Order: sequence, then structure tokens, then C-alpha cells
Amino acid sequence: MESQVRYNDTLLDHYRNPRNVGDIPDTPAVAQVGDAGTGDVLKLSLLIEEDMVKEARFKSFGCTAAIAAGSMITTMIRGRSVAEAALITNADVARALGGLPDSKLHCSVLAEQAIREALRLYRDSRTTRAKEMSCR
Amino acid sequence: MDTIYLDHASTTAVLPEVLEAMRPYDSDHFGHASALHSRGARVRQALQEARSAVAALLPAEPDEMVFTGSATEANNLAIKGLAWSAGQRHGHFIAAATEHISILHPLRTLQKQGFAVSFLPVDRHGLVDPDEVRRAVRADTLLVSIASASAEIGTAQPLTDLCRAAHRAGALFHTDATLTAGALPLPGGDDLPDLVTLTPHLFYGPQGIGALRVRRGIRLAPLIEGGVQEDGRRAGTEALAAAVGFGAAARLAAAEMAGRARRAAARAGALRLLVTKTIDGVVLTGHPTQRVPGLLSLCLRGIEAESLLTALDAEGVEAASGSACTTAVRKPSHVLAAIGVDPVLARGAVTFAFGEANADGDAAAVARLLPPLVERLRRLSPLD
Repeated sequence: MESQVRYNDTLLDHYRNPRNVGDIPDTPAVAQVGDAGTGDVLKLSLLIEEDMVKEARFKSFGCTAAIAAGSMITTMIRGRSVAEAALITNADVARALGGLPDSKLHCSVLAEQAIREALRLYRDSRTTRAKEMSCR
Repeated sequence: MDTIYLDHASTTAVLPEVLEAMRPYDSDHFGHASALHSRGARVRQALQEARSAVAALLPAEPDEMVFTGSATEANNLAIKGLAWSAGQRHGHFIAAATEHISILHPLRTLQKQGFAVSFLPVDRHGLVDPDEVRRAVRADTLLVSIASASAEIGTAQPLTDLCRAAHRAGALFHTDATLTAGALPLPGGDDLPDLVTLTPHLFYGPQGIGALRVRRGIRLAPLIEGGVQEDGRRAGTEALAAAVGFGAAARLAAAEMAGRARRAAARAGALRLLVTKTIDGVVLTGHPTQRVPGLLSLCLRGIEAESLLTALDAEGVEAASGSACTTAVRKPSHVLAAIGVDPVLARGAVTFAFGEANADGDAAAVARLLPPLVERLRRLSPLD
């Protein structure tokens, strides 16, 4: 069984020089997915204005691929409309990373979950705000 | 790039003297031990000398040594071979909760077949209490199996006391001595475990061969059937060159054991001091003194080990996390769970296993590299 992983250069570059690390203050679109005890944890913060993702930042606790996937999705999602961002799948993330070994595919799944969750929180905040507005 | 090899608990480089001893047996001195011509006789002689040298390392009798393909096979032979000898269908096995998967998985197989298995707890340092062995032994207990040491936390078990506890309670005792054979002496005489697993690739011999010491009078059912090699206990043409290398590595290990242990322990000790001084949130694992020489095991808070190992590898440092046989399995370490390490902290488990491939400056070099790498990963982490 070839159980150990060799990473490609694209992935290793995102691991060694992760893009857009950090948090974004005062934004509702902050998703943290995963479990530190058994897997990886990915935190994705999005600044969305007029349905466009203006900024994306991430933090990651996990393996090399989990860190690289976090970095990669920030570059994939920046400048996209919310509708476009919602279409990004785990396969897109894996492809952008130059391919993931089978044992690391869960990292791209986690990345897709983070995007979906952050967008959901954004939509929820809009719905809440709209309700608040209509109550006034 | 020159690398700093700190993975001596998973395998080691074959020493030049050992390679030299092996080489003719793949070419000029080739042959089959069962052949009737004089070439066959010379092969039998070489195998006998190798067997004697391996036996002398324990020490045991040469005819008690069964060559296998690996330590994993030797563990399987000890467990299943004993269970299945004389057509037994039931019986009881005892093992430590921290055993290697090459013990745990065969035991699981036996459980499915109706055998009973008890797993003994360990204390926070990973030690098995001999009283636990005494209490666990039943009238139908066939074997107590406790490894001499753990590759994940470095704790070396009190083999003499454990073996005596098993014997007094009327059970046979097996130890997987893979990690300590050639590095630490085994108990002598009657306290030498009845069954002992070892492989030379942990003490500068070749991979692809292991051995099980089987005390005279113990019958094991062969797992591999065919010819009558290894006294009918393991069929198949002997791995001649590997066996010769096993013998050569055993002779060298017996002669150099103390010096190797001293060098490795000094280097691991130096790294331990430096790391605990320069990095916050370092939790040493395993027993503080009863340890495999040269094996530093620790957990780094807020770090996932695999990503740290990737960063170290890029700097030419080859370290490990847990046992080489379980790193592909994304499950919390059963060894760290057994000693009560929090599952999140356990994700940051790293081992630095020093040995003969190292030089005096290696510990300091690694200690210089580590703090910025750890700091970088901690800054990346969303956890508090």
C-alpha cells in the first residue's frame, strides 16, 4: 500500500507561502468547520459587499493539504459574486491545488464546507437585516 | 542536500560492514539450503552462523530462532501460531492497550474466531503494572504480549517483572522487542520472554527479515505452509543474504550496544533541553527515565504534526509522528489516548529518534530550526 503522501509544487507553495492568512473583523460571514480532535479545522472569513466577495481570509489547523486548501480558496473566491462562489466544489479546489492524493481529498471537502457555511451566514445576516428594516 | 535523519525508530541505514557481509550471498555464495550438493551445505552453514549470532543477541539457543519476513510476521506467528497450535478453538490472550497494530490486528482476528482478549491499561507514562498482568491471567490464558517499548512515546516496559508476573500466573509471555533489540539488553535466563520478536532493520541491518524466538517446547502452528524450513515453523526458501546481514548486524549490536545507546541518548537529551527551553507548549510524552535511548517524543500545543513534518522535511530534517505503520490512518493515536493525552494535543505528537546516522551538532541544528516553524503554524491556526 502506497499510503504516504507526496505533495505537488503548487500545493507546497500554498503551504509555504499561504495567501490571505488572518481574520476579518466585523463581518458576519465567518465560518469555522472541522474538528481538531479527529481532523482539520478551517476558518474562513469573507467580506462581502453588494453581493461581491471583496476580501477572503483564512486560518487553518491541520495537515499540509488543509493549510494549502485554505490558502487556495481565498484566492479562488476573491472578486467573485456570491452566486459564483456558491458554485465552487471540492473538486474545483482539488484541481486548483494540482490534484490531491485520495487520503487528502477530505481537505478539499472541508474547504467547500467552509465556503458554503460562510455564504450561508452572509445570507442569514442579510435576511435578519431585511427583517429588522421592515419592522421599523 | 544533507539530511538530518531522526527516524531511527522506524528504520535505519544498513552499516557498510553488514552490506559487505551480505553481498557475496546474492552472487558467488548463492545457493539453496535444501540442496544436496556442497553449495547447499555451505548455505546451511552460513544460515546456521547467522542464526547463532541472532540468538546470541538475546541470548537464546540458535534452534529457538525462527526467521520470518518481518517483525510484523513474527508478531503474527507468535499470536496466531500459538492460538492455532494443536487445533485450539478458544483461549485467552492479554495485551497492553498500547501495542503496535501488528499485535492488535491479529488479536482482533482471533476475537472474531471466538478467542478472548483482555487489554491492559497503562499509566500516564505508558507503563504496564505487573499486578495488572497477574490479575488478568485466567486458567485459559495462552499468552501475555507486551512490547518492550513504544515507538510513539519511547517508554520501555519493566520486562523482567512483567515476564515473571505472567509466568507465576501460569501464562506464556511474548514481547515485541523490535524497538529495543540491539539497543537495550533483554532480561536473561528464565526471565527472557518465551517468545521474542525482533528485526535487524532497527539496528543497522537489512529490511525484509525478522525473527521470532520460540522457547524450546512451545509449539506454534505455521502461518506459511510448504517446505520444512525453520523446522516446519515457517515454510519458504530462506532469505539467505538478509539472514547473513541479520547475523552481522546482531554481532555488531551486541558489541556496540552501550556506546550506541550513550550517543543517541546524549543527542536526544540535548534536543529535549533546547526545545523545552525555546518553545512554549511542549509536552513530553512517555516515561522520563525508563526510555528507549535516543527517542525524544513530545506533543506541541496548537500544532498538527503532519504540517510540521512537511516543514522540517523541506529543511532536510526527517522526523516522524507516531508509529510509521499508523501515520496513514487518520485516527487519533491509541497510544496517546491510552496515556490520557487530550485528542487535540495528540495531533501535535512528534518523535525525534536519534541513532548512528547523527552527528553531535544535529540536536542544536534542529533546535534552531524548530521555533520559527512552530510559531508560523501556530499563527496560522484558528484555535485558541
